[in-house]
Amino acid sequence: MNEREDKFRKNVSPSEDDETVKISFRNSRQKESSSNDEDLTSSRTIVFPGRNHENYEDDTSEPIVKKKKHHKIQVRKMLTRSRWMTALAVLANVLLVYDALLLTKYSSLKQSMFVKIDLAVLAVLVVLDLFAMASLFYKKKNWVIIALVISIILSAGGSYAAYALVRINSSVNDLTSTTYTKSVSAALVIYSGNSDPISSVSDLDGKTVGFARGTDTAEVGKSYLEKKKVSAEYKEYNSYTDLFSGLINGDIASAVMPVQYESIIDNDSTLDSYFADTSILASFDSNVTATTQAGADKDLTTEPFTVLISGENEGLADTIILVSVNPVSMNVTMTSIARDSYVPITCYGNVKSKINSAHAVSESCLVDTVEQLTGVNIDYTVEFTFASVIEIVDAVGGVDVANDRYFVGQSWDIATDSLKNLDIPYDESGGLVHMNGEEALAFVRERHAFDDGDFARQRHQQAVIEDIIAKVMATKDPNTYLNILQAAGNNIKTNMSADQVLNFVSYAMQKATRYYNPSDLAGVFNFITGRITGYDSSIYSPEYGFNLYTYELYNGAIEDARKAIERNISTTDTPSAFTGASWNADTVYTAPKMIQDTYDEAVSSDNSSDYSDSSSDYSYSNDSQYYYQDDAPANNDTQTDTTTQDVHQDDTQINNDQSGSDSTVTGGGTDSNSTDTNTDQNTDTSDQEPVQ
Amino acid sequence: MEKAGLRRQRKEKFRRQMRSLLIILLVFTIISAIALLWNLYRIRNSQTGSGNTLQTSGVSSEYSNKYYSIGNNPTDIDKTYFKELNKAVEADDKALISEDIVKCFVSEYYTWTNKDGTYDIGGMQYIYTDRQSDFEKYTRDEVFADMDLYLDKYGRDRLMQVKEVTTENAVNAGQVTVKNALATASTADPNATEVPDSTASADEATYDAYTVQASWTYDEDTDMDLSQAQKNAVFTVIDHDGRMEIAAIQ
Repeated sequence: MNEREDKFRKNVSPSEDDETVKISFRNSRQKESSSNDEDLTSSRTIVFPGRNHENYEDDTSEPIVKKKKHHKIQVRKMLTRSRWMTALAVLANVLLVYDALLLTKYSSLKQSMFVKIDLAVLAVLVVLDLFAMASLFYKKKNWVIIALVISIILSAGGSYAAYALVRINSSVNDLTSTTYTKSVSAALVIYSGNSDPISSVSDLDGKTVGFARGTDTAEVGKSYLEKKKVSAEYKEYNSYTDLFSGLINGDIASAVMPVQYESIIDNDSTLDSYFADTSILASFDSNVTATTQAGADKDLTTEPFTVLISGENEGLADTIILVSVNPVSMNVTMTSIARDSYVPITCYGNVKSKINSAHAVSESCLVDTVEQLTGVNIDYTVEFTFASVIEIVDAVGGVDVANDRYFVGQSWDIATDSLKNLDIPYDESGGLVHMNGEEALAFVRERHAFDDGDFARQRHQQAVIEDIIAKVMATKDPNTYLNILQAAGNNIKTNMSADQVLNFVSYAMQKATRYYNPSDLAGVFNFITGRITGYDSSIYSPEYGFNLYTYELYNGAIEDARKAIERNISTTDTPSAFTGASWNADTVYTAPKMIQDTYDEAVSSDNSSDYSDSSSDYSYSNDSQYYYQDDAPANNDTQTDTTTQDVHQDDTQINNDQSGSDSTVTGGGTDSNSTDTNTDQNTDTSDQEPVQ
Repeated sequence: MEKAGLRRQRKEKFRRQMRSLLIILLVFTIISAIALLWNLYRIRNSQTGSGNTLQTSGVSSEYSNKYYSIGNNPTDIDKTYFKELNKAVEADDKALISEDIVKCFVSEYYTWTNKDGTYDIGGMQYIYTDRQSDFEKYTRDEVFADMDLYLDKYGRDRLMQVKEVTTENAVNAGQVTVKNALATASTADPNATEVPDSTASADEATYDAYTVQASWTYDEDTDMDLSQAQKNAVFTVIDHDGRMEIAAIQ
């Protein structure tokens, strides 16, 4: 027996039931480690379950070999565990630091909060690392295991956070990207009243198919027919309403329209009676790449700015709100424009049409049209979809708005990408009710249930926007911010930069620290809301033989809206002399109306003489590839760059005499193969436009 | 001996490996700490736009009592009047409190040198709480409507500042009926005046009240034209469940 074995024998320390042996390789002076805190290089305590001390005494050589082997195994295990623990601790470090760095992009939202997050991450990592280093230094098995478990948890958490942040960053990039891809669903709509029945897509061969000028559905539809090898004649219309009228009138065999075409033109009481006799022959989807113009280069914390908010539905602008923000007064004007407002559309050569149809051509067409209508320069655009309302409202935990009547609203099912009906919460006494995303969407879309129809809808849209802002301002949870950003990124497009948005939110939150009511931080904004009022009218279409519904705007309403917005964004107006206050709590203050309900102006109930054939009124120089059958793009993947469309629109040579009696549109350089109907439009614009 | 040597080598190898792991961890700890400290610096210096918000100055606890707290960035006379209010609150003298909150209100509300913007309305804490938002809206729309233009044109330091406020003795006005928090613009009766308690509707409430006649002067070192500026008013102060609050300025 060698010296080492002798030392080993002296260190034998039997227990009652198990045989416990301490093996000392280096020296026997070192303290015996407990079974839970083993020091693997200096001494070993090995337990052989079920063996007693007597047995050990009887046979010493066998256990010693086993003990050596066991010790080797333990050392190997320790080394393996330590390696894993170190690797995972390093991974946790990398992931958490990466997360913190990614998160800093949003730090301008609330610096103090992000400082705390950064310090917390630093503290957690330092504690973890020091503990892990201690476990390695002292070679404590259980410490290593604890550090390993903590590292696993932190790595898992860090991985998830990194995944979420990368997604959010991607969403924010999408949100503020000026180029984006959108899915367009279109359908070939047919009318059973037509003399020539159509039962399949191939029946359209040689027939005339109509589309709305410049719309995404037109491009998608034409590509679809090309794919199906259907050789159809194409006829273009100014708007979906005109297109639908053409279908009913028998001008065309089929119309390329959005799948939800009924919801687009259901304002026309003269047309909706035909819905039952129409059906979808075929529907198809495609992705379309669109580009928006870059926003203004402004510091939103010092310079007043304007934003055009539009809610997109099947390519049309269902919601149009012109917002102006003054970062000093924190006054925000919100001016709604009825989607049926009958105004000159800039990209139609200023021919009047419903304002929502301008959006079908491009967002910039809508911007130009609103700018021309109001005289207000628009700095930025924000475009949202049904899904964005649902997701953002849900991200802020729902909205609280006043709804005093029961109705079944029409919302959107994101999962199935289809309309759905649901009961909307209400409180007859006019109190606030809580609505989730789907309910809020139905609420802001509803007009039939309310006496003032579309204006109730505009009011509700403004109320929901205000409450979303209130909820955003009130939140203290960074996760909520990130959820909002993610929801917004998925469904909202803006040409503001991410920094501009974040800086402004941060700025507003700084202001809120001085606000007298900490429970209502959104109160820091003073919302001044209004709508450009007008009156119901109709326009007689000699071609179709019936009246089309229109909504004519009051000149006074447009002027008042312009004045209110210009005052809000002005920094140079001469201030009126300060007078003082006179207020009494025995009455309720009623803010002066931004825009009056009615104006003493001559109204027209029928613009029949103004109406001209809305189809094929224009030819476009250099863009016949888009509008005429023979030049239709052979674009098999149906990718359509709407930027190109815009460029072509800009190329349109329009000689439009705003004040004269002729709006003659000429197009140069039309392709000889085209079916261009390059006609002059004899329109008396002075009679046609009640709005100057 | 050979085995012992081998064992020592193994032990040495084990120690080396453990030391390597330790060094790796140490290095990553240092890198992480440096990265996070640098990130902290980035956060502190992150671009938040050049728009400024007037920093709220801290005030000592003497400018707060069981009912009221002094407003943001108080001026010297704000502080003086608030100290007087403290004494009145301590004495629980309703008439005196009424006079002092009127002084405090006037000195805060009609002073713009310490305001950040139209939203930053002084003296809100003295307004009848049920109708604070109503008063705020009125102020922003009509009284402070051009404050942003004044700020742009003259700068904050050149705006109006109350120099002195004097009040007559508060007069017991009996009971007055005012709208409560339930009242909304649609239910408001613009012709409503004080009505007996028995006829008060659900959106009204009746309180004991004092009226206080106040007059004040402005610091002349200002660029604002104060020729038409209000310099006196009669305030109605109600006893709102023990807290005296301004319910009317006329």
